[in-house]
Amino acid sequence: MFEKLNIRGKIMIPVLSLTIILLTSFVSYTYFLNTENRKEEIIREFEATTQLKTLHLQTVFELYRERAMMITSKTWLKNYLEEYLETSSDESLASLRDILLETQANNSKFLRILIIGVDGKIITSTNDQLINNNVSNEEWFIKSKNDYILSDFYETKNDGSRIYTAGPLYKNEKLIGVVAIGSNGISINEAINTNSDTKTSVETYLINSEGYMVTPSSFKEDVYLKEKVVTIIANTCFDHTREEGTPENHTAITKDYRGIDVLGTHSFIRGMNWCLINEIDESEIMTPIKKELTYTTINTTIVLLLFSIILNIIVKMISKPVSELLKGVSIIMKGNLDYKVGTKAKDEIGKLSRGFDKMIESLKKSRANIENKVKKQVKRIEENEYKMERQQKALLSIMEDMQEKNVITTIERDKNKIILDNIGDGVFVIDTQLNLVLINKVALSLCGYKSSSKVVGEKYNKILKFFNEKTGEKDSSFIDKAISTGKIQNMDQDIMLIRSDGKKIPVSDSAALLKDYDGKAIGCVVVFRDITQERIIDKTKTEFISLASHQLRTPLSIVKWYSETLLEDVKDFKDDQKEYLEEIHDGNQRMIKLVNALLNVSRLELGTFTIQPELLSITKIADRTIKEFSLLLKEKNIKFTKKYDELSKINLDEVLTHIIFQNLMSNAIKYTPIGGNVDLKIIHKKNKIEVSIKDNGMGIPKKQQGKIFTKLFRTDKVKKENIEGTGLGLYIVKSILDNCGGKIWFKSKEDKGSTFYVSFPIKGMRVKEGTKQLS
Amino acid sequence: MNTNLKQKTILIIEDEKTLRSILKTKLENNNFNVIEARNGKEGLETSLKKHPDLILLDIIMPIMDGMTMLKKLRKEGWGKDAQVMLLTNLDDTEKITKSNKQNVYDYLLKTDWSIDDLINKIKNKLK
Repeated sequence: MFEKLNIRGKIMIPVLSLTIILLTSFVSYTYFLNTENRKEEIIREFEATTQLKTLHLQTVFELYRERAMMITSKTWLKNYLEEYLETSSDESLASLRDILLETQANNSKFLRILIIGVDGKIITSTNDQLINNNVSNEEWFIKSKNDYILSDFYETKNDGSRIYTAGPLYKNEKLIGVVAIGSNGISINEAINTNSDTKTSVETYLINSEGYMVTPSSFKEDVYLKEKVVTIIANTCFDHTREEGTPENHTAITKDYRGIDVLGTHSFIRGMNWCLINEIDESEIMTPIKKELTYTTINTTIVLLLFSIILNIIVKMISKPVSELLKGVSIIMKGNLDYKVGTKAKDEIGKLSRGFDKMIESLKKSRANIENKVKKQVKRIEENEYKMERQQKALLSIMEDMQEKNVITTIERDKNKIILDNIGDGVFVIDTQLNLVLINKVALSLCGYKSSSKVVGEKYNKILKFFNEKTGEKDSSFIDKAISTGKIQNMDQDIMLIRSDGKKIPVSDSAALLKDYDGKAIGCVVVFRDITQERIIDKTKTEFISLASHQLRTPLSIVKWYSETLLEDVKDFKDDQKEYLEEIHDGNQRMIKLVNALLNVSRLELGTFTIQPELLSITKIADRTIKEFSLLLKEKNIKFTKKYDELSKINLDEVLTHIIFQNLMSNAIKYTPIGGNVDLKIIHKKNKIEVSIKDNGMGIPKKQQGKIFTKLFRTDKVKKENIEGTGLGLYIVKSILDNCGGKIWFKSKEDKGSTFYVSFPIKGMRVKEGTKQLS
Repeated sequence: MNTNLKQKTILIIEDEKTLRSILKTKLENNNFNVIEARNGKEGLETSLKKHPDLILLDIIMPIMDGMTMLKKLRKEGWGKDAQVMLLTNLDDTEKITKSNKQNVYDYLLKTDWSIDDLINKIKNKLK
């Protein structure tokens, strides 16, 4: 703190502080001493005045006594009293009263005069009302038998008398009575309140032995024998009469009867048992002392102020060269090396500033040198900076271009991501290393992950675990195949996905190779979906169909077997009965066929039927079918021919192939009249095998040819001639061929006949997984 | 040779009384001893008790269906090699596949077979 001050401060603060402390101590000490002395002086003076007043009072008392003596010494009075005591004559009493009245007339201060008998009875008085009163019990009366005394003050009567001066009346050394003079006691007041009291608040008063004021108060009215003074001064005054050895004077600052702080003293009036109390307000005696203090303080402050100014001037003189040096330093620090402090002072500071100027001069020189070098360096740096700036600009424009591209790419990527995430199916992409590079939300949730960040970059088969439900082994062959063949691969029907929680869900869809613009493989995209629900629905549907057909077949088989049994015993029936029975049997057979056909249709439509091709000879299947129809051909006397090329075995589903032949043969025979022709040809044509069945039957009307493969369709002519049939055969055949990769078409002319063609690819039927076989 | 000496026993497990009845008549006419059961449960008990030479088994039946009965039968000592012919009206590829796994080679659809052809097939089988 102190270190931070400048030189002026360092000198001024301690010197001023020290001066202030010394002066303050001096003033305080002087004031304290002076105050005490002044107080003592005032008290002494005050006590002296009090004593003086007491003496005055004593003198007044003497005067009062002398008045009594003057009357008692009156011989005439004694004589008349003696005479009255002896004779009790009215004349002597009247003479006595006359003497009293005369005395009163000569002395205005005598308010009443009494002559009292030894027994205390008032014999005569200037005041008639008092005659015959008895005062034998009054203390002053008893005392006054022996001496001249002053009574205590008493209640004012109508004549203003307040105090008695009394003395004995002797005649021939014998006490004959007592004389008492009543006066108003003003002389007493005057004795204690002399004109010498110049102080305004001084008050001197008397209190009687009971503490009541008997002289008037300067501050209160009507205090006579009413105001009881109970102050410390009054108490100590009466205490002095009871305790021996205590001084009769006591002076103290205390509260007076009004409750105001006063300097009070007392004097006990012996014989009378009164107290004279002299008081002066404390504020009055303290005023001059306080005034003195104010003067001293003002004086001190002025001295201090003058001292500070002088000190400041001196200090300035000392510190001026230092300030100049400091100013120079700050100017030079700002860079003005040309500035010179140039102090002329011959003291140490002057020397210092001249040395400083020299130092700056040499500094200026070396600085110029450095500046020169710096300039050169700066020039070189500036050249480099310019080069760098140009390079930076080039770099920035490249970066901007890149950023722009980045933004476009980001937008594209975001767009693609949004599209991908909103596709309802699972989609993921792998690179040629089989690492996962992209996966959408659906795919993530299907395999049980929440965030793509954990799975991208992993081998895809760690995350997407496909397996074959039938074999129970891992199976992602559809992806491998898509990559190796470059063609879209559908998943097998039994592919399941194992989720991260171990749960297995059936899935379906496809994988496709991803190629860049140059046709180079860059990965594979897989789309898949959860087919749990589809499977449940399929299962429910097929189960319903199976059960329904079962329920239908049961009564059919009952009718079938019972009618057959009956027909064995055909000889037991009449001809018409036999005919009816056969009708029942045939009708039942038709019903069985219809149920089978309907079942096949539903399986075809649901797609639940299987195609399980194996290497078979197509001609053998054809021959087996022909054999089934041999009886019918014979019955209708149809001329049947067949012509086969030499064919090797191909992949065929036996059941389905049989159904195809069966339907086509059945139709050809059915719609050909008795004695007609049916020709079957199986030939090899390039990459297919072509079957044709030709008849010369009723043919198909041209306008109905377009509807021939529709479900339950039958031509008008067929219906008219009531030829048995379900309208499902050709529909079934076409459906089978559509599913296994074959084709069907026909040529027909009404009333001339029809030729139905069927072709199978040389590689055979397509495999199809399913739960049901056709029958 | 044995066939001449001892009459072959055939167990028909079939819930449809009329079908059971005609089969029984036909088979008895062809000199077979025929016993009947109305569902899979009865059929299983009877087969294990009587050890028939051939079991004609329906699939859809109350209480216990044919495929369940067959599975249980194959678990029993005697039942492992018992001759079973599925005679039903349910044509179901899955069931056929399953029955093949249970050593059954004949899966016949009732409506496909006339009663005489059926009897002949049984005869051939028990020759």
